Amino acid sequence: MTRPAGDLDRLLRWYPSAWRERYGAELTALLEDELDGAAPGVGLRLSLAWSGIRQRSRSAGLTGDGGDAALRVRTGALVVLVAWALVVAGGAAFAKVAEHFTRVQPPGAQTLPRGAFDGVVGLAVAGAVLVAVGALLALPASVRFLRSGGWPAVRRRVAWAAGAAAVLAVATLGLAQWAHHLDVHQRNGGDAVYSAAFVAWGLLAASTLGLLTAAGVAIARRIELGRAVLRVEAALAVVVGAVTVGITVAVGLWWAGMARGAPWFLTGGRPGSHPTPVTLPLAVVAMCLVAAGGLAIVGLVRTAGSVADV
Amino acid sequence: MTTAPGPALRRSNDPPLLILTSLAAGPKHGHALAKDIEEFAGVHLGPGALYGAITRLEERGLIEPLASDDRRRPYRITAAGSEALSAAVADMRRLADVGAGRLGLTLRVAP
Repeated sequence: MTRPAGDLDRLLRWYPSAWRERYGAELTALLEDELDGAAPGVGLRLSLAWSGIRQRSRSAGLTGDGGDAALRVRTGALVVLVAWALVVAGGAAFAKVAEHFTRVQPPGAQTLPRGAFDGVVGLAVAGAVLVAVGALLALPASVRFLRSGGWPAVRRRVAWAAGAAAVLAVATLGLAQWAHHLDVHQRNGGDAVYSAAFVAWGLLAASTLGLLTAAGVAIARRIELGRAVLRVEAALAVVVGAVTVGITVAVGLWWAGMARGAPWFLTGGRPGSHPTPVTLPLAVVAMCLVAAGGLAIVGLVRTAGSVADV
Repeated sequence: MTTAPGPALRRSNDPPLLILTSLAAGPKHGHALAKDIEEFAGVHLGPGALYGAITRLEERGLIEPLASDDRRRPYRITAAGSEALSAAVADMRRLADVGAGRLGLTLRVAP
């Protein structure tokens, strides 16, 4: 009994296309020999999936010490960029959660949260400046890439990002106009329709940020950077990675300070009450920031560990 | 990758080392490599693990593919691969000598 080749070929879809081009036929032949007409079991399928994912990770420069050091540095820096996008999304949600926390009484309850909040703001500004510097440094190479025929390779991602940004701009203007006609109570949960629209706007903003980051990564993966520029980008990535981790820690300290001194603020409860200081918005913020912090550590370790080989 | 049942302390089952050892006896394609390794080391390398190791070894220039019209492309060990295998075998030999000496055993060299 023989199995159709397409059936086995589908098992290799976990591997990167360049790898399949080089080794796919050999691996399919090996599978045919090993299976001898039998159907591939779950164990084999999982093993190939795992091997394919590992190969993708190696091919992208995310794991493994071999291969091109410049690719490893670039991948590490792009992981930090993704972490930064996550921290921007989580930070924006945090800004909404923390709105008006300085009005909390007694003032002594604000000491740690104020310090942590100022730390978040300072780190966010520093990180944004460093990311902008990194983007500016990569700009000439990006323009060269696009002028030398690279546009078709990134056109779809850039178009999606630009389209989403345009929709977000229109939605922001519309929401701002709407909010202008509402009072403070209506803007903060009193108007259910406005609240739903605000949540939808938040999701749109997060999606746009994701699409913009994906477009940036698609271009950054393809451009030619000189050794000196790559080293500077690596240094920026390491610092931005550390800043991202710092923001995550500072938000954690803010939450801890508020949970200890004024937990009612976190849940919108009666002053002086002691509710559980965990809410859905805070959980979303925490998930974003913990993921950002984890990715930032992975990216900065990868970058710092490979830059000496460039 | 699975290993045959054996003593609590197993022999080395590092796929690149097993592949280099197998190819030291002559060029082989994937299926022949897997069978040979199972025979001499009692280790079954799954297709994913085998080709993951082949990829890394080829990237490092320790093995190279031979021309073939068949999809079952054979590989052979390179000079750099033989050198790396020799160094690894010498390391293992030193460890084996120390272990055997301390246990009062006499080591036999396989034919």
